[in-house]
Amino acid sequence: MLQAYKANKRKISAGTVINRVMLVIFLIFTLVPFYVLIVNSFKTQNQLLGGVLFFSYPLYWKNYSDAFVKMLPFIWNSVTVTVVSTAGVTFLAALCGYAFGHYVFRGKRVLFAAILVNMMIPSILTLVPSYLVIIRLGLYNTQFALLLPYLAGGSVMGIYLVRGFVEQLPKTVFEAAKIDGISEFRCFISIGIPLLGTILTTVSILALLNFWNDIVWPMLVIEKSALKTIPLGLLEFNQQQGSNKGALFAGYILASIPLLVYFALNMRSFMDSLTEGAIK
Amino acid sequence: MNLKLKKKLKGDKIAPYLMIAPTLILLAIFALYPVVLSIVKSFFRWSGGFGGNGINQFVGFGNYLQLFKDPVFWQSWGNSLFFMVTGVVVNLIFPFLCGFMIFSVKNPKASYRWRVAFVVPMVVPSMVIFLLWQFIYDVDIGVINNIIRIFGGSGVDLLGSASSVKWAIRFMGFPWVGGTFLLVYIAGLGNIDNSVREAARIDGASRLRQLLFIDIPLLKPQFKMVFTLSVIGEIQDFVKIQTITGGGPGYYSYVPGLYMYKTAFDSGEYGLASAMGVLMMLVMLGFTYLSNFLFKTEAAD
Repeated sequence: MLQAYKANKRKISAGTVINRVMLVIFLIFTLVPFYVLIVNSFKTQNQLLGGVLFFSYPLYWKNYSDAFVKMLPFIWNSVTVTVVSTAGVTFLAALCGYAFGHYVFRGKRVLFAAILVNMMIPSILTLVPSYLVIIRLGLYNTQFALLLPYLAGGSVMGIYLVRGFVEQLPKTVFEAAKIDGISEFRCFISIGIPLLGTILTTVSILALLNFWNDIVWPMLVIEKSALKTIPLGLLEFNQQQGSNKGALFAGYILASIPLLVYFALNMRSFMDSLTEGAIK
Repeated sequence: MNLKLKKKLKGDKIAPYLMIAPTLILLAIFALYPVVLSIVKSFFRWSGGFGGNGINQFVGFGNYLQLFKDPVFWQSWGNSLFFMVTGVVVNLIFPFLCGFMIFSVKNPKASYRWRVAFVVPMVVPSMVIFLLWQFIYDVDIGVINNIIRIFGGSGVDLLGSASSVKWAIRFMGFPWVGGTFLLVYIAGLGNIDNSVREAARIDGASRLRQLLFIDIPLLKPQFKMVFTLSVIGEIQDFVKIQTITGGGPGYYSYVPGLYMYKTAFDSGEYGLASAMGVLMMLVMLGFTYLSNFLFKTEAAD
């Protein structure tokens, strides 16, 4: 019997080995571009012309200081736009989702449909007219050209998630407070928001990823170098830096760091939110 | 008193409206109005001005007819079809295989670590990924040509030649496993009732047979979702192509989104561009409908 057990165990571990080897291969191929990135970020142009597959010594650290000077304003722009619009979207989604989940009011279904229909509209359809609306409102080349549409489009999914969550909450939680004479808005802030904690984390992380990664929209409405976000800044840097690719690669790495740090600090909720966002 | 209390519990009549108003106003201006505008203006020759500025002339289906007669427009859709088909195939297979292997890791801590390892690349800005692949393909100093030269070959311009450009773009991101689709599959596998697998195992079904006859059929909703999202994503994603080839060489990697972008922002023909946007939306709707048909789920199952 022990032998049977052992044989069985060996069989399982053979499968496991194949499984792990395949995963490792997948991971290596996934990481190859990042290896290339790191290796070449430490090269002078001459070292780079000599080959791009391995490290060349001495490591050329100056690329990082050059790239830092160039990329810092872009990183700062991305961080501010992302933080402000993520905070705004999370608040609006909480407020709106709470209203739909908590209250009974005339026109509720129509209004909810008017919001939800935006989930089905492909962004490519509205790209051109949205740009013209921004021009018309005189917001071209301002940060509002990014923030306002982000607040509008970004909250739709969040509203849907929050509404579903609020509908599950027992009404009695709120009734006690209302008997005490708290205003509706206070009730939302002091009782609603704390209860919504987990779902708001999901909403904010999904929004943050979208805004951070957005390329098309900023490319349309931002032209001024001083306002450019990371993707636009990278393109600009790319055009200027043809003669020293190493600094460019250092710039790519610096551009990736803020979100990487955020991810490292909030890994659990990040993974959960991504899964939840993917399924919904 | 009792009446007052009841009223209070029902809530202020205007409170919900006030809470919804900000979002609704923003959506009306920046989302709903543009939708109406693009559908209406697709029937106009329009230079983009409002209130009688510039050209704004009703042309009926003129824009649509012009597009149907335009060989570049058809070529761009042909290219797009290539990206859709290959994209769907890749996304149905690779993230699923990887997800299945991660799911098979029994130790929960190890499984979590694998998931993290494959999600981390998502954190890197997509622009970095595009530019990095552009460098990998670079004809002079790129990674691929470096390897070819080591073995004595001569440089190939994968992005610059008509025969290879679409495949080169498709191979960006190889092996295509890091991302949300991976998480979709893992979550789907986790939702399958373990007793089903247990029963199959007791009946002597190998892991491979379980995969083919239990996991894959039960993951139909996930496959359907990945199918739909892949198609919609491929139709809309022109920034990648704009960044690394600009649609070239010639029109060999041109896609409808890029054509729309250039029609609007280089040529200033906003009406024509709107018509392109409407057509893209219709194609996406068509594929969403097709996915319902392809991945029909029997209610009883």
